[in-house]
Amino acid sequence: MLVTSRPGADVHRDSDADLMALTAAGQAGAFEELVRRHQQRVFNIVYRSVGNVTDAEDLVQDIFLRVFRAAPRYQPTAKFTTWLFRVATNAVINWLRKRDRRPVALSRVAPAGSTDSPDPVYEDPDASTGLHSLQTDELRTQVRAAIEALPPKQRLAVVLFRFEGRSYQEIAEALSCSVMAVKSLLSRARENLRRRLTPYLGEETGFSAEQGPEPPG
Amino acid sequence: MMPVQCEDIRSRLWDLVDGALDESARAEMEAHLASCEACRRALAERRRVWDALDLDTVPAAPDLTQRILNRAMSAPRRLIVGSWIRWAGAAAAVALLAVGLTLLLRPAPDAPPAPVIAELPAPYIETELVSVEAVTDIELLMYGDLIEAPIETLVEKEIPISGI
Repeated sequence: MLVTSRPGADVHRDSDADLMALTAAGQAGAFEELVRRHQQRVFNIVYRSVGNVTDAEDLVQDIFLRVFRAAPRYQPTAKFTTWLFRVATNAVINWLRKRDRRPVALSRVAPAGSTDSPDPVYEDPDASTGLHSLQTDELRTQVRAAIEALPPKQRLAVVLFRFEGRSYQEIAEALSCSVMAVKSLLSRARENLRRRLTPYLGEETGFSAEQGPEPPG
Repeated sequence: MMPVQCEDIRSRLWDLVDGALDESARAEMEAHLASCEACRRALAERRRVWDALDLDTVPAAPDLTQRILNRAMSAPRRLIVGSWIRWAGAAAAVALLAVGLTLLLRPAPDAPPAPVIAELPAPYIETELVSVEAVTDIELLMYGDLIEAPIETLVEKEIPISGI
């Protein structure tokens, strides 16, 4: 059924499931195509969950290594991305739990917002635009901190739901739990986020969804 | 103390934020909100929190393709021996000891299984462990269920490998 070489084959047109089968069969380029297709999204999920680029890079590599090793056993019973998200969330949650059990050197835990974005420069803090971006940067820092304060499963649920637009069902499969459990996780996560962020979101602050600043590039 | 109806409305405000309510439920909530400032404020607060998450940005992702490929092609195979030791029984333990692994075995048969992880170089696994016939599911041993198992059942433990 599978051939190990297909002269002229274009991996770009293969489905994810086919690429997994080709990877298992040793077809050159198949796994690379899978990586190219999905690494951005996996990185996004991982980065939002762990909060710094260095750890995210390590974890993304680890996740794709697991994908590679699993290729011989992979059964396309569901969407590949559903399975991929499960591998990714398992890896992230295990990593977060390990990290939280270890005494951590301060340099390894990035304070929210500080590692990958430079400190904002305030040219004229009294100008209304200056004040506005001060508040926005502060709020951004607090949003990141609030997400990182969530327990692992709540964090993943929010990341998958809010930022990746996954359905309850897909999140349930990624987290190996029921849809009801997902709703509960999201409910608790939202309460935690609300309690944490509301002090920074008073009605009189400059930030609002309709007239907020442009998101940074 | 919050009126009963407000409590009920509050518990469903996030559904409203999500746009997850059907026609009649939404109408019911909007009717209440029209006359209840406290609940309107509660809704506005939740919307602001949810919208604020848009501020969380992801830095430009590095292209990890080459590093991932390098790792995949050169990484040693990992042998993951978990609860299968329990049903594979003593025979499997003996067979694995024969290939020079130092295993930590659970002392009590009714204790929850402790997964044991060892790293062996790839060629070693293919030539030696394939001959272990006592274990009925070699493929499970080779790749393990680490990838798909429920998280709570996994405990990783690095053990020293002797005699290789």
